[in-house]
Amino acid sequence: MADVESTGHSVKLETLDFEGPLDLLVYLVKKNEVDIYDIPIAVVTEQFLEYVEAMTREKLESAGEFLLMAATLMRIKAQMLLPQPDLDDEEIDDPRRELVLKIIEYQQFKEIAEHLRDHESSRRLLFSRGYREWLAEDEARAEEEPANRATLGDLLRAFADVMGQAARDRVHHLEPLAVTIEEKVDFIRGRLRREGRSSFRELFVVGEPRSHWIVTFVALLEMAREGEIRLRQAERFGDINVFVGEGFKK
Amino acid sequence: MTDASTAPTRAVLDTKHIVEALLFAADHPLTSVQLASLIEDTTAAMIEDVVRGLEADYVMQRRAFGIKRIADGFQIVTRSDYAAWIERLRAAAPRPRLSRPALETLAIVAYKQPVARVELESIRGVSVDAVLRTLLERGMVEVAGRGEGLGRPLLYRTTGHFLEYFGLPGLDALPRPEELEVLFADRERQEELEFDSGDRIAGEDE
Repeated sequence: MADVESTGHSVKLETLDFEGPLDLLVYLVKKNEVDIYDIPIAVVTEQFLEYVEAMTREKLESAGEFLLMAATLMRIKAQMLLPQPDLDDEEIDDPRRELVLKIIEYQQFKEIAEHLRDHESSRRLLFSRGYREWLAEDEARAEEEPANRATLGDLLRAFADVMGQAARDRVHHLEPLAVTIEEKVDFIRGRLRREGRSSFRELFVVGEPRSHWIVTFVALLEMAREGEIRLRQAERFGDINVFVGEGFKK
Repeated sequence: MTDASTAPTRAVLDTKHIVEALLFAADHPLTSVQLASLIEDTTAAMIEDVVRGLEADYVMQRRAFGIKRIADGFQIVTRSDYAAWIERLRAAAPRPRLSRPALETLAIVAYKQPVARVELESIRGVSVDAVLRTLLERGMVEVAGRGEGLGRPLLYRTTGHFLEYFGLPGLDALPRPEELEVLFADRERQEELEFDSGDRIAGEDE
């Protein structure tokens, strides 16, 4: 196999930034000028791991996706090292197959994204009647972007705050939860239907046991994931507000 | 100026000039169907011809504007040569472009719509949570309904605003997948890979 000798291929990648593990793989395949249909998996895996190692020190948050891919690469590498059973004919599935298809598909969309970038550039040079209003609308939309959006960190911080104030049960009762996520989802929906928005704190009913508050929190996470609600924060570490989202169910 | 009583009747006015007036006054692209519904005795096909004639006039007269096909309609826009001066009129920082993750995600939505978030994530290999929300808020994508799968996931599609933002006449103005450069290898092998699922890949094993 061609991909066993991997020493001497080490690369310096630390200055580059990648959108994700597939982006990095596309880069490595191009850089090494290898045939996508015959990727030297050992070389690529080694370089990939080098990058992940350099990266995890700085951006731990996206490291998970890279580590997952690293595990996939190592699994493939191991499979490639196993002696191929002497199967009669077909059904010999190259362990790299699935990954190769993914890389190709991703590469195609990267290209389409570049087309879109070109269109964006040329469109910016054309002006029509009403373009000021149109731009203003677009900017207003753009402005609502990440700064105001509550992150998972913000949410956890707010939840920790809330829980700090919860009545602490002196005695631990082992009882089935008296409330379901669905009930809390309904409760939150009801509140938003009436008022359009709510503060994060208000959703935690004073006097309820802690377990209920945890269920409320899970319900909020679930609704945010589904796009039913939007979580906004006016300022860093400020109060979080809950708004009706695109996927809100009436 | 003429008031209504002395206004010329439809008969003496050129369809071409009525179309010109409508495109001049409109804030958004007008489709040939819309134009035909506004002007007596015309069809969408006639409007298409008239618009082509108008654009030819503008080119011949070297006007600073022309007619562009955007989002299934027509819009009068200034030619790109004059952008620098119009930017001065605006006197503000150029608006932010979409980020690379946003463009990649949009590209996938455009081709796979209606599409669920899991599929976007599987293709990009990363979470698309934040970027999808940005795209929703900027009106580039919208919820198209719910899918059949587990948990009936939300499905997304691109919007008319998406076409306007990129100045695209329609989704079919994007390159077809087979027109994309295949950067890695020859097409035959790729097709083999995609369609003959049972076949081995990567040529002959040693």
